[in-house]
Amino acid sequence: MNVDHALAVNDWYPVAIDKLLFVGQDQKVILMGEALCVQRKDDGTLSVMNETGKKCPHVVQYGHIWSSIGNPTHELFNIPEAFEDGRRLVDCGPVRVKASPLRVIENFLDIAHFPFVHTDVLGAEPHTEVEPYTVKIDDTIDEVWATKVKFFQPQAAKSAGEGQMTDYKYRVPAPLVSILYKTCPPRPGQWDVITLFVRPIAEDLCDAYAWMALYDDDSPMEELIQFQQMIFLQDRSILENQMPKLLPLDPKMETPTRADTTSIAYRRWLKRKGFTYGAMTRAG
Amino acid sequence: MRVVLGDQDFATWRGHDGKVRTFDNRCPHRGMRLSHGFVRGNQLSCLYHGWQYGGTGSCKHIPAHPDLTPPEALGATSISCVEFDGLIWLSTTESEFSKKDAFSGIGVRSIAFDCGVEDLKAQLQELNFNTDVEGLEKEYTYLPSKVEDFRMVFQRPSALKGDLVPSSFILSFTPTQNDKTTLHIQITGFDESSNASLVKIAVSRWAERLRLYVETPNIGHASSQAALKLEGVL
Repeated sequence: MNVDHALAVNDWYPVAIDKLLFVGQDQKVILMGEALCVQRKDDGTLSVMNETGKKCPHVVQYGHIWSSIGNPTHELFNIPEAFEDGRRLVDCGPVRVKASPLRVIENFLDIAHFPFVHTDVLGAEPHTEVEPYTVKIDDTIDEVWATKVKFFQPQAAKSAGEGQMTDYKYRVPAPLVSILYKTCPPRPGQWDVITLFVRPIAEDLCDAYAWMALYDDDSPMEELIQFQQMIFLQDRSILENQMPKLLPLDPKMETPTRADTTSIAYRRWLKRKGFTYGAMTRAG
Repeated sequence: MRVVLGDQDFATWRGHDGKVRTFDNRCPHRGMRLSHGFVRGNQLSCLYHGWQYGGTGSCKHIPAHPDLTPPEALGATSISCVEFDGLIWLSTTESEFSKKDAFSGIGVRSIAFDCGVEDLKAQLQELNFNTDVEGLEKEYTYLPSKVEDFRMVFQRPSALKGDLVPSSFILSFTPTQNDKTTLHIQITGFDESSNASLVKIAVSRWAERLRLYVETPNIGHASSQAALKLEGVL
């Protein structure tokens, strides 16, 4: 693999849903072109191995088994809210997307598409305006944060009744991980946590795993999963039709507006770090 | 709708004013294919964020910023596009649309072929397709009466009579990706109000047999010309 992708190679990615890998089973997955075998042995211990039999590091967290084809020198990011009492943890399952993993994360950070792609669910005309919000690349923790994001939503969550202004915060703790905090209808003042973890299969192909930590004691689990899958499949119809396939990091290639402040910061952060797996750095 | 010409991708759309326009199939904002968009009035909206483009391609409205007037230079790239004789014609060069004879045929169907335009034209010219119409005593062959770069016309032989056989076939070609062709079939000798639908079905079946013949030479050529007869019209 190209040496330029060292950052991508040495990062953590989800390779399986923890609960769905039973004792004595294995799963084969591809991570950045390398075939891996994730196995829960008869004694319950986990292993992740590549085709040559080399052991890959792994860690279990946030409902998923995480691994790497390189040697990560950092720990997996932390989501403190995930450990709060009373939250329901929801594994939404992987969705295969024929698009750059970076485009998938960028779309997750975008709210302006809600009225057009998630019509009458996460947005509806004429409530299309994106009010100014705050974006920061925090160099001390090496993360991108967007705060004070507000948008009108007809049905913000499974537990939401009628339309409301919904508050959001977005956090990008790793290039292929995004965490969304949003107003929690049954518990004003608390935030629902919805995450997207992406496993890059190739630069233009990935599996996206949504995982949620919600305050919702009423909705059946299958409805929570169904809701999130419906939303993500609507996104996929966009993601597989963006051209070029790779995310352009040259600011001249695509024209953003103020509503895209998070996306601009995300692209700038990737470029500055040199994380270019799934990206194109210049036109042509 | 999406139109692919060689390695270029376009979105062709018709406004409520009836005019047809063609843009590069890429929203300048986030690269979404505009062919997935929707037409309202005389503007094409991108499906992703609803950016609205007028007839010349310039961006008229950005829903995320309803009070903003988009800058003049912001827009989708527009290419030349004319409607002529029942078809929409595109040009990726600045050249004027060259004058052609009009035949006022009625459209039958558009059908994709897994071969290049020149190959398909050569095969069509070789075939001289026949009619095998019940009630006719002998076979008649349609002959090419006009061959242009992207269009061929086949004329009914004068000896062939019959209310339900086309007077001519107008075959037009779009060179699509990877040496593939979309064939557009029009016929004359009918108007839409007559029982043209029977003839259209027969011609449509003929087009499918033609495709089988062209795409699978071994299978197709075994049944040879017989497969390419225009059958069952009467």
